[in-house]
Amino acid sequence: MSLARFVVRRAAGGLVFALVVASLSLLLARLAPGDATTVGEGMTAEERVALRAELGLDQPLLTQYGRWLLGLARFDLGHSSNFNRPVSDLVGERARNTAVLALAALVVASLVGIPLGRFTGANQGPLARGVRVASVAMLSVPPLLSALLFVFLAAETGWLPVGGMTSGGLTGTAWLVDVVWHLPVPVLALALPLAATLERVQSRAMAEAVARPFVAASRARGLSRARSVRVHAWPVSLAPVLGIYGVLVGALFSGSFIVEMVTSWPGLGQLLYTGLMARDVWLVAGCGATGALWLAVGTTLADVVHAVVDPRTRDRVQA
Amino acid sequence: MTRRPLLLIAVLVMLALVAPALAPYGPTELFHEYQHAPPMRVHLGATGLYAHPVTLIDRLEQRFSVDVSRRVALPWSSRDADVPVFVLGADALGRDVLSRTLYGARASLGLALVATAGALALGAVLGLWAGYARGLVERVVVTVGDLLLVLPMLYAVVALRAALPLVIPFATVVLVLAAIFVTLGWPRVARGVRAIVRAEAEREHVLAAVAIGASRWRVMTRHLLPACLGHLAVQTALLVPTFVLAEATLSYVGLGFPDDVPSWGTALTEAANVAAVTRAPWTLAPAVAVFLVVLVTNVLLEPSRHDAVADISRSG
Repeated sequence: MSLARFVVRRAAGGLVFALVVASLSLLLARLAPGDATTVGEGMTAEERVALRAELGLDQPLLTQYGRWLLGLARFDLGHSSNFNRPVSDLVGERARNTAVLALAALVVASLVGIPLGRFTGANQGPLARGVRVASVAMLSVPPLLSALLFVFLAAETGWLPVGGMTSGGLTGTAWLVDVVWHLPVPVLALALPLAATLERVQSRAMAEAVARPFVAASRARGLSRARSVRVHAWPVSLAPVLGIYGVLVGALFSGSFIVEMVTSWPGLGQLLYTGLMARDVWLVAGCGATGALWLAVGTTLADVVHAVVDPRTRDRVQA
Repeated sequence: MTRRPLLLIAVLVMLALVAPALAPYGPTELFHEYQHAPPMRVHLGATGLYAHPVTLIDRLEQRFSVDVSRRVALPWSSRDADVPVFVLGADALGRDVLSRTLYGARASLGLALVATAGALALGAVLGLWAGYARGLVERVVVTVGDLLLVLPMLYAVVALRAALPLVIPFATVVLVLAAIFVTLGWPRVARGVRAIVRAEAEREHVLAAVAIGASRWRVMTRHLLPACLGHLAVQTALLVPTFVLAEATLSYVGLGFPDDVPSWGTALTEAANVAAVTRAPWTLAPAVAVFLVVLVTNVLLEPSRHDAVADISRSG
């Protein structure tokens, strides 16, 4: 399969996935008992009817779905009853915050995990063993626990803010510095378990690559061990590691939910939770659509990069 | 690679059953003068193990003084209700953290084990069926399974749970949570089972069984299922910690067990209060319990874990 064809097929599959998940989240929100009018207190019966009509909740389910799909085509996701704002504004803002958190975590995890994995895969000895042990231990600290741990450490030492994304009331450069200042706790909480996963996968791939005959042959030709590892084994070991990124995007997204909850990072996960609890139908559907699109773009990108590096994978994917 | 996961499961089942019996106090037993009492060090003396009692000296700051002149026996040997001994400290309401963590094992591990059994059964049945019947069944199982597999576990769990009535009785909560976990967990099992069955179905011993007239049922249960046992064992060991974590996450955000049920997740909700955690870090003990369960699994599965991860990545 040519690369262009692969990309198109993969992207189409991603879009279908996003649409299905978005529709499912709308269905889920509509099937949930109660709606925005039953959560708020002190409403008269007339006000309820009026609000339901305003939100379009009095229409048949199929009409609601159709209208929502039409709106989706125009990036109009309806109105959030809980925040009293258009859903598309809210979702865009929160998706950006989640993206900042997730991308920073992905970069940190890659910069920590891959070099360490390369080291432990190609080396024996006490240092490599130590890294391996630390990695298995870190692998066992899921984001919920690492987030609690880092919040605790930040509160105990007072070095970093324990939650939120900004201290509020700042603009321009000062705002940016403030956001960066709030980043380390949630990013590390999200990144370290992923770094451990990457370390393990890279380590195993490296160990397998080092054991291949062509690496032994390069050593027999007189290459130094370091050069043989770097030039011959290292590039080969990268393909399986790139393959894992598609899975990591999901793990990253899943982990970001709980990290956002623990560290009060105003991201998509927190917004979805608020929406679900407030029975804010259009907000939930909007979060589902955005999250699914986000996920689809992430996994598609990962698969395309993998397909560029290792063309054999192109034929394995069914759209 | 079958024996180690089974051993792990046996240990966890034992733990879920036995742990509450080891608890020195009841999970909801309140000690009013001991809110956030610190862990008491256990000493070894001539008469056995003992600890020094603590007394509250400042209620506002929750400061305690240790009375080194007195010795109290540990609650397992003789119970003196007036002078409780908190080996892992007390929580914000003055409940024994150790007891709550031990009782929490029952709810957390129990739910995870039930859900794992369900996911294994459903996944094995659907995987066998899809792999052997092929055709439409296979396409439906694979499509639905892949969709569920790509969904981020925690998001899906929270969304499904939040869509149901929020306040429901305890017995129903267990069933609802287990059902949600099974719904999201079965594709992991089914995917591997289907792949194994497809390969296995073309081998001579299966063809021979078909040729001598074995029924579909017999072929599936006697000739195909045994080939999947290794995969099922590994999946068991991977699903249990996943579900333990899912319970902790759900309960942490207030969608899991009700507050009065001791579980590792409900115990962690207290940790949502940063000030309380810095004052009493020992209330994080349930987090250590979750960590240990995941750690033991990772250590046991260290070599085979990568195969499982590679299985996922291979199919993109």
